[in-house]
Amino acid sequence: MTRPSDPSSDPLAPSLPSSPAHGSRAKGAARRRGFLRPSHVWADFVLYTRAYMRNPEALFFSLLFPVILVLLFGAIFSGSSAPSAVPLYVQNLDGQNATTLAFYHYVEETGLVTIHNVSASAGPLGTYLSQHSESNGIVIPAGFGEQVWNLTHGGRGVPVALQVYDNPFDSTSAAIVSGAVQLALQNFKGAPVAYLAKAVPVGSLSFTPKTIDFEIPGLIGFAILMTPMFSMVNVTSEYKKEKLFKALSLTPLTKGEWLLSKILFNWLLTFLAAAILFATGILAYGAHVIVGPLLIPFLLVGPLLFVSLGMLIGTVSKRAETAGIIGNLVTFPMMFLSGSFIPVSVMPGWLQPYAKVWPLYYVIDGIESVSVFSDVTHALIDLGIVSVMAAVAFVAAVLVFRWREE
Amino acid sequence: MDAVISVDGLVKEYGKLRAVDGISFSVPTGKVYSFLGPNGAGKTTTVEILEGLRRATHGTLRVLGLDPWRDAGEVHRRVGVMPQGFRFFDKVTPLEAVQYYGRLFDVQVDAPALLKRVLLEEKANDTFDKLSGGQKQKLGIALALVNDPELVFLDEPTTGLDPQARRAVWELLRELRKEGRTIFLTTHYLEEAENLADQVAIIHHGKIVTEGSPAELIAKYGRGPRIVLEATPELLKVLQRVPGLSSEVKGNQVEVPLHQKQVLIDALQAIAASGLVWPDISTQRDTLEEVFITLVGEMEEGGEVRA
Repeated sequence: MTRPSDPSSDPLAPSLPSSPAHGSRAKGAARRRGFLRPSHVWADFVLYTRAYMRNPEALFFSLLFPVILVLLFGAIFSGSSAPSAVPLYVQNLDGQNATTLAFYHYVEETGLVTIHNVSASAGPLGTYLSQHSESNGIVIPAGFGEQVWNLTHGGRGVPVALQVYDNPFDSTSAAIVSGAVQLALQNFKGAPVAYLAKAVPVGSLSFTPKTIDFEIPGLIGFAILMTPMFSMVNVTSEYKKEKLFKALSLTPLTKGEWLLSKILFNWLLTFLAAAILFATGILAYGAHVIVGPLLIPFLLVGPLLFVSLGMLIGTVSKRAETAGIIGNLVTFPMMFLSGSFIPVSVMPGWLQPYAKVWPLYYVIDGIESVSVFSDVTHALIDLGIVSVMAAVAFVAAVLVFRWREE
Repeated sequence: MDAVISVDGLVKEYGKLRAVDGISFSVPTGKVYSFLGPNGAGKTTTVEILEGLRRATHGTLRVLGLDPWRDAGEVHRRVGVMPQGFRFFDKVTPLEAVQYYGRLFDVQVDAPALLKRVLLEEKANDTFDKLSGGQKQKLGIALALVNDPELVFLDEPTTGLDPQARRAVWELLRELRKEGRTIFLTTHYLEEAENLADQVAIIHHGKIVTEGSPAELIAKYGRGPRIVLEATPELLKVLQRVPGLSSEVKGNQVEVPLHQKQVLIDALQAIAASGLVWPDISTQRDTLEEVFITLVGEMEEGGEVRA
């Protein structure tokens, strides 16, 4: 490419008579192009939002579809299923104490549970349960029988806690286990029940979470994935095909301004979707969610990640059709495996590692840590992972994405 | 003469393919300059290089005194472009589109007036996907004018328009020229170039085959004005005896170039003396179309050209 050394060698064209039909250049219009001019970003944002709002199909998938899913999943999981004997794993660390054996017998006698013995040498029961993809268990600690004997015979003893593991995703079986333990304890009149039945579930919870509480973070993750991903795959490949990027590159709009406007739009839609999902869950099913400030970074970094990923797919695909197929190949497995609909923790053990390769898993896990468990440390770790992934995807997308051809 | 565009030895290569093969030309200020050529001749590639959308492989080029690739931002502020097969966002109306461009270009734009100018005011509030092909093209032209450009690139602006709409667009282009704007028009309608262009360049296989005003090209490559006589066999016998005329007989047609005044007078006198009459007589002159066919190739139906 030859570049003349002196750009000002040619005189510019003479001034034109101003045309009454259309405008004159605004005074003080910047001669230099700044990288990001807010007025350009805003103009593009307004135009894109307006056009999007006129597309009923897109609106349905972005805002209404997740709501339908909440209502649907809520209805499925809140239905009362007939109680059957729940498998209960009992680890007895108290040996052959008569009182302990009696308690053991009483639990079994309730008929609510099927007892499986776990030997004391099997290690911590929590580990054992998760290794065997089971969730309900009791640890009978050493000295349990003796303490109960003392308490029921007017003596004073150190309070002993039964460690009860249950499944926070399955409130029905948790209730059955709890019921069986309570019933068994009634046989030891005078024993202070409060001492004995102390549930120790997955995290330290101030309430017993219901399935719907886990569905909401999953579906917010779904919204964070779907709209940015599909809209950007579609936009980048279609704009390329229809030469819209070419048309836009002939205006002062820059690539950065255009991209920022799309990110802003996806943020707006994600916040809307999240608000609607929380509201639906709370109003329709009394979901218990903690709307902490730590949700905000997830709602910002998540869409950024999928905007970038969508743009990357749309840009590298030669044809719009190919882009659509690749988009689906990435999106659908990610959607199902990352826990959008079914929490990863209730998936079969062998499948769980595959969940953790998808960026969406960390988004959902993080939102869950905030809105269900209030577990800041866990959420921050997830946020860090999502941020790194988003940064990598964003940089890659910006580098690959071309406004003009060489 | 001020040149709005000057191009010297422009080459664009895609791998081994030379889409543009060393072309040079210049476009004077305030004129309509037309690129004429079959599909794949390198017209759009050249135009996109001039617009700063593609980078030249070799050659020197200035648009408004600027390097269109390096100074794309400044060039885009001062030129208007209607790309070939113009498309816009489906769910946006022409009114919104013009206002959007106004904001991007930082200009105050009277959107309804501009749409009226391109005869699109009735569809100002319909979304783009509801517009006909011709209406879409008109929006493309309107958007090319939002920034009050000194130089307007129109790449096949009337393709797909009905004859009436095409005439209306021609009228608009004449007005733009009157306002002092330079127009770079790419077309494969020969009639369009002949009607509008001050200068025509015929481009074929990435090279400029010839360049000049339509009249110059017709004069140079055409056969000049002539009288064509339809003749009966009897009349033909009479005419064959006229000195200097015998070589001009083609079947039952006799062509006499207008500049051969004496031959023409002799022929008419011979006819008058014989008492015979001619079935038909007409004057003919070559159009740009004939010149184009001679230079480039065969015609396709509807006035379009294919290599």
